[in-house]
Amino acid sequence: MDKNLKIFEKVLLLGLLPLLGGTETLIQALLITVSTIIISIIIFALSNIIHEANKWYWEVAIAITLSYSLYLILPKVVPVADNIINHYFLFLGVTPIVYLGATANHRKDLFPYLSKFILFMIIAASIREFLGLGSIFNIQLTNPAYPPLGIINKFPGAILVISVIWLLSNLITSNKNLKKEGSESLV
Amino acid sequence: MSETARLFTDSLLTNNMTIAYFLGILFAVIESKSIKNSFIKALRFAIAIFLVNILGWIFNYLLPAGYEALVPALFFVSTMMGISFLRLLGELEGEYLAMPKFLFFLAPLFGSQWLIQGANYNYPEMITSTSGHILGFYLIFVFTAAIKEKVIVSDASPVFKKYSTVLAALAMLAMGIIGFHLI
Repeated sequence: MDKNLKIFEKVLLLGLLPLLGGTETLIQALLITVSTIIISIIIFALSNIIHEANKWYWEVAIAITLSYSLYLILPKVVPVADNIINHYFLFLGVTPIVYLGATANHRKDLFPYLSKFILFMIIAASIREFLGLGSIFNIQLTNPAYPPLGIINKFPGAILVISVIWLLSNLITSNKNLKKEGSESLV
Repeated sequence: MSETARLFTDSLLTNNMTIAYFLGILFAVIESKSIKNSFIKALRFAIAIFLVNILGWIFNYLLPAGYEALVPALFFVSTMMGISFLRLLGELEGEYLAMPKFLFFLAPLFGSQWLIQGANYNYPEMITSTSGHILGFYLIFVFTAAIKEKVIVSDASPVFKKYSTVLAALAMLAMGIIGFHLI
């Protein structure tokens, strides 16, 4: 299963915790995505400065400090954030995706991962908010008492939505590969 | 059902740290290889979580009032002690996706302490809740190994022999677990 992992699969694996825990609503997902990007970029910048043998421990300590700071600051800075800041904001410091920068040699290496992470967060949050709560950006689209599929907003729904997104991405990429192989054989 | 039994079953099922809070789900998915070796492996990780939770609770208990901002720092220290303990046992060696493997086990160690701290338990409650959490983690780790083994040997198309199928199976398990909310 670990052989030939594509970039999107690595993103889904490394960012599994925020993808599952921080996608109840779109606003929450956007805030957690921005926080992840900020921490990733700081870790990337620091990884070029710290060259010690124990650099990973320093980076973990810094990432936890940053995520804790954001966890405390965000409710005061963003008015709507008060109800949607959960402990997954704090857990960003222990999420592998924020350490991607420490493995990247150049910022160009980091961009494809972060852009896919943003995309997956938005897709997962849109599906979960619409089906689970019947709203988008807190704008109620269905009767609040009857969301289309309430369980999607709970923990089984989170795992189910991510697995479906993953499966569809796999199917799309495998179809693309098949088409490429087909056109090559024709030539 | 007594309060203690209720707390234990809640921590094991409806508040399961791996399924309900997603702490350790990534680790279980990538680290469980086969059922045969997952029994001992999961036991080691569960013991580490148990010890770290006790340590984190003691740190938090001894912290003077007004210093609550230091809690994450203390949990970081206890988490690192847990990582060192596992490394002594020969676990978390090597890398995964160019990152040291211990990075993938930070979430269950750090996160479970935060869950315990958030609930403001006394010592017996903390032990009960942690026992439920680690038993839940142990079972999910072994289940995931079983699911992975079954997926790999199945006759399905290669596109289904991926982590997405493992997650879908865990989602079905979670659907069963959430049913306990109704009881």
